[in-house]
Amino acid sequence: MLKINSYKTQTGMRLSFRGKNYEISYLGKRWQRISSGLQDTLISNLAMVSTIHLPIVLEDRKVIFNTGFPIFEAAFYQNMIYDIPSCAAFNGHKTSDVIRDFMNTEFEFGSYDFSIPEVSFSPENKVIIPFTFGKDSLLTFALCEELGLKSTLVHIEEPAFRHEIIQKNKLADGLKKEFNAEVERLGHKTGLLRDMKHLGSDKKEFGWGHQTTEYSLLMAPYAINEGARLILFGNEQDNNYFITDEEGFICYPSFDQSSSWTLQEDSMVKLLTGNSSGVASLIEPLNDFAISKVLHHRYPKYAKYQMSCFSDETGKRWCQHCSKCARSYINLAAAGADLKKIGLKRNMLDKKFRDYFTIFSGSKLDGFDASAVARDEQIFTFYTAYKKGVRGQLMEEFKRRFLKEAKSGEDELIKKYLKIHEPKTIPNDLKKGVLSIFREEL
Amino acid sequence: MKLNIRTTQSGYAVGFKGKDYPVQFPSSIWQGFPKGVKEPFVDNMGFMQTMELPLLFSKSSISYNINEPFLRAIYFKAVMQHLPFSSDIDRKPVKEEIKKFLNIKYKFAGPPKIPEYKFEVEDKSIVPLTFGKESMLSYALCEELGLDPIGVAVLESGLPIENNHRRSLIGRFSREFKAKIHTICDGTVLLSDYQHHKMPKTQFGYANTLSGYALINLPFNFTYKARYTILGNEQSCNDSYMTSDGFRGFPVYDQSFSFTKQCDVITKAMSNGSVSVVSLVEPLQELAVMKIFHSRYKKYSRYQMSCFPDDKKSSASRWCHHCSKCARISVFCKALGIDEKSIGITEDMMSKSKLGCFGIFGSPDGDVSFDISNLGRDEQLFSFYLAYKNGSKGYLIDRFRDSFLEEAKSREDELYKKFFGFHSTHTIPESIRHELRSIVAEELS
Repeated sequence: MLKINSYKTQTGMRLSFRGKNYEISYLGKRWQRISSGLQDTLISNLAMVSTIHLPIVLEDRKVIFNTGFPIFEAAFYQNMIYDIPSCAAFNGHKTSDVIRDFMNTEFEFGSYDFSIPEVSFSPENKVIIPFTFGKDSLLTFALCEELGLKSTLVHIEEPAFRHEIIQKNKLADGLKKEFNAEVERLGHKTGLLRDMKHLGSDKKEFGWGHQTTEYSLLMAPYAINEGARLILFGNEQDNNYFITDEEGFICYPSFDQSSSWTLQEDSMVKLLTGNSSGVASLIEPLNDFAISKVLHHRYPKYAKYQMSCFSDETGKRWCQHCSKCARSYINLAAAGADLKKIGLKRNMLDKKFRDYFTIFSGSKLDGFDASAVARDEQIFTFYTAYKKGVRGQLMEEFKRRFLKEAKSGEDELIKKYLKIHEPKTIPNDLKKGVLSIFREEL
Repeated sequence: MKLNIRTTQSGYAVGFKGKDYPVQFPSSIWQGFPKGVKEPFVDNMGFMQTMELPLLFSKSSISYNINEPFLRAIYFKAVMQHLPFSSDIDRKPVKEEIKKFLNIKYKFAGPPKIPEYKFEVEDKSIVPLTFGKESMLSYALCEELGLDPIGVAVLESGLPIENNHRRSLIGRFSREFKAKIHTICDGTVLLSDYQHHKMPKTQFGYANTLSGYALINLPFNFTYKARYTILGNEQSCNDSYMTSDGFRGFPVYDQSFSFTKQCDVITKAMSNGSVSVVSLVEPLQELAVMKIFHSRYKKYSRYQMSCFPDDKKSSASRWCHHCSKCARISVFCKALGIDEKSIGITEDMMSKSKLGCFGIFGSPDGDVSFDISNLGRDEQLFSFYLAYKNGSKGYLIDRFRDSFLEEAKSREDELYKKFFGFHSTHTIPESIRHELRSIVAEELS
């Protein structure tokens, strides 16, 4: 039986599990400025969403919370179920077995009384951006500026990636100095509950699949504090692609970032904020490569801050030995970005980096890059880079093995990866402006 | 697969395969329901009532002309948790059915809309009235607790005999007690009816019955400013068993206390926090419900109708006398010393011909989920035992004596505690809990 106890603190909440404390801590008076009722609702919901995977990871079938019934319990359940196929694949488990174990898990709560928080404010033309310095959040920030939306940038520190935090703090200082743009930090030790090393488990990936659901809730106090009409995630079109796993289950690499789930997050935030704020993704119409292209062409002043790697002990913002660095490298090369300027100093088209590329079925692929969904887009980016004259040992292999396929499927690939897809999550009043920018660039 | 859902003068209608399946409220109730709530109401009702259609028709996608329902995850959970039981009874591998369900693509015309209307409420209650013992006891308890009950009966299409009985009960009950009882005519039930679609018998299609009951009454909550909707989900609704492929199967998951809380989320989210779903009978087992209802509220108890009569033979009586529900209620009556004839059970349910209606003598056939699962076996054991001690006679009492008396005697204390105990009250507001406990204690001590 897993016992999860959570308590309110002056700046947020403390979650206790197996004798350890995990704090979520807002800066200044962010937390105190929201109502006590909303604080209670957030605590009961955050306690569940940040631990819902633990019974699977720790192989226990009962969880007892000291907190109240979370109003979004069913949403966390659905999010978890749809995330299971990709996690099961990573761990070599059968999806159906993991789903069964999860469905058989009993969740008990300290009390079953709950209320819908009474919140009401008149939203202004402001937005909250959970800010990672990845291309998606940088483009979102830049788009907001062009569209006249005032952004509050929040970096939610993921303690499982402490080197990343150090790098991002440096970048935040740079952004502040150059553009007077403040990046506020949110202490988020509950993130350790999805760090398998920390949990002493050899399982992989469980817990990351409801990250944006958790972030939606974490951002609600900022939305209320700032009077923001939207929380903007960087959920791009690729997140809507899925494959079918060995058993035949639909498998989304990042279900919580799909358009359909973003709409559910929108509903959650609306319920928490009296319908005053919501969730959207301005970059939803674009695929991964198109985002790099727009960011580095239209907004180079912000693009140079890009960091899409989890970083490591070398103290560099790109470790250059992970599949995210590899994907970013070829994307940026294809987009014509100045690779050295953004810190990608080593030539990742050298054959020693082969294992980090999806198209070569590398042995060191993480998350999205390990899914079959990522393959075609990488063919396309290699092809685009090739046409731009980018060369290297791996480009030679690409030429040998995939150039013919890329050439023959060029129209289809362009249509798919440079297309501006119809957005589902962008509010109507912003849609025209966003799509017009994308049309100019693509 | 395409569904066309539209609002009408008196409610809404689901268009499917060229036919209309309407839901009709009393005109004044529907017309008075605020516009800002109506649209999300129809989005949510329309979806939950039809989301299992692709499973019934083995389709992998379905397209709606309505907005995505903002409470979609709740209806999803109801279907998922119901699937182990429905697949098990249909003798289909649970995993395969779950896979089919998860792979269905639902398409909507627009993004979710959240209602923005704050309901003004008072201490009044809407009681979905089926005339079953739970809903009748809930009605009576509401009266005693000062929650001013307004009864709403849903008349489901395709059940002419059952509806005739129910209409007759509504008329008599309203006249005798000068009670407000409204009706809703629900044509969408046919969409889940395998017979209507000329399909083999199946348990699929009913996962969101109680979510529907919780939400469909909302226009009445608004009109009457009623703070509560009272569902009759008793303690045994929480029972589950393990299916042969290792899934926990809930015969009536949507009536469990855990899902009743989800129903509470539905009404609160739709009414800006004002309307709550409560089950006053949650702490009670069925036998205790029957005991309290028939001892404390005699004036209402003769209206009880717990059977779903659906054949011509039943047109004269509201009890068919050949189903597991009639059997269960009959042995409860004998156990509690209630005159069966006073509620209309006229045949001898202890005769040899009724053997197949009782779970205790082997799994009964039929449509009643709880009885098919045989999770009520212990309650039947205890009821037979009490009936035997009360001096009831008959072939089945003898059969009980020969096969089960010893077991019942040895477990008497345990069974008494379980079936006459006061159990969890998770769905009951604290303000009511104390007084309710006191009523129950008076009747069960």
